[in-house]
Amino acid sequence: MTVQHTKQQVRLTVNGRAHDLLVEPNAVLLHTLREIGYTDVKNGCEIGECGACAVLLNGTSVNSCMVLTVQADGAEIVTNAGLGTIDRPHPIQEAFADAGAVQCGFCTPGMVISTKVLLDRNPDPTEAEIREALSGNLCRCTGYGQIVDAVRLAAARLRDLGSTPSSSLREEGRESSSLREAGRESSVKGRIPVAGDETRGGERNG
Amino acid sequence: MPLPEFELLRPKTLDEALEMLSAAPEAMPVAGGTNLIPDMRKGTYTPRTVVDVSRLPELCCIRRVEGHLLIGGAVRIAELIEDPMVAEDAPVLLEMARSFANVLIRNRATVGGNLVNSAPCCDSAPAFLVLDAEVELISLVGTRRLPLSEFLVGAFETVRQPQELLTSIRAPIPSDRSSSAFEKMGLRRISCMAKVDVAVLVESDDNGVCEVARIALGAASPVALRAKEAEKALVGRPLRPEAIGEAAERAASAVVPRTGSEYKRQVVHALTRRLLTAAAERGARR
Repeated sequence: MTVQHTKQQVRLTVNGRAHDLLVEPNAVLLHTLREIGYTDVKNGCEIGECGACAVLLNGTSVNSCMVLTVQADGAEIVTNAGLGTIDRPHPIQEAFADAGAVQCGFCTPGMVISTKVLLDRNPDPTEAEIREALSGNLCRCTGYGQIVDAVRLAAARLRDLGSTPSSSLREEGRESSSLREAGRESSVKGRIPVAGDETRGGERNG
Repeated sequence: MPLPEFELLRPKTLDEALEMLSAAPEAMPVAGGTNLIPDMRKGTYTPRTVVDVSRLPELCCIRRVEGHLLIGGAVRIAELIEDPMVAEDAPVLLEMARSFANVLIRNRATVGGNLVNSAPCCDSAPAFLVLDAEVELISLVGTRRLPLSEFLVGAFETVRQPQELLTSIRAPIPSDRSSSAFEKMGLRRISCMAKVDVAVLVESDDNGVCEVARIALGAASPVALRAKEAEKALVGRPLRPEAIGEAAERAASAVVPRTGSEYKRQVVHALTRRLLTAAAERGARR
């Protein structure tokens, strides 16, 4: 019994860049994104339990392991790396680094995505609201205390920034202490390659 | 790891989808994929043909039709939290949705998928059961509507035929005098599977005498059910501790525990009493 599996043409716009791809019907968005270089999207459980692969799909946060790539045809996707770069980090990313909310960093890209969705809707969340908003993202090392602190810090900074959330804090003369800790900062951006982050050409992405 | 191979069909219209389901009876409709993808990954269910129904407009709407609230099968659980009609007409659905899994899953999982999967711990079923909801199943042969209680027949078992699509679920909009409540008990407060779900909806007359009482239990038996005997303990009586206590006792008796889950009787007893008390206090206008 062979299954006929015709490849299908899809267009994904990822972090503002359009990709026209020919994909297998059984491809899931998580794998497709990683194969085309977005290895800041982490492959944790592949069954929607851990949130490490969370991305924004047309503005809503989803586990990319639960989306067939074909179902995302035409979609706008934003990954953690699309929110900020190493040179111009998003205030949420900076807050995660400053609050010590990053240890191994594997869960961080998903945490940042869920935090973005929360703070876009609720600029001043309570601790309970933060914990609920991040309940689909599992961390197995830092512990959630610092992560909650990071979200609070990010919320406060974004409120201070008012209507210009994308501007870098450093441009306002406040240098983040942990930006000097390049390693940790890179991890927030998903820039430190971890096992499995080698792209198909054998070259590490990051 | 890649998923097992399958053919993926992408109908653009409802008619096309029905033709595909009719032509390939082994085909499985998919919308959010939150049940299907883990099943395929674990190898517990590996359909050869998958039909993506997530973009069919008929399945994606919430609207009012002739005194009913109609929710399309591919409406995502998160939409129940945001939709003003749901908040106004059926707040029990909003409460249910807020306790459903977590934000990331709610943004994918759909109402139709949750019902068709018919897991014993399916959260949406008890909420729809107290609304007296009906599901609509459409195939090339025709349309049938049946009460949700008849649609769900057992654990992971419904009366849906392979060529049928669950297009919508509709519930008569409860009276302004009604009051409802939903609570889920799991191993943690959020992002968990239900150990017990209880939903209640009551309506009293001007003298405080209960006219309508509906109580539904989830995860307390192989399939979500209405605790009819418990409901009878309330109708015609004031919603006071005596009647509420008797209803809670009877609801606990409706539990069909598995070995080791006898505790669910106590949970159902406590939740039923708590929710009925809250609903009675809240009074009219939910």
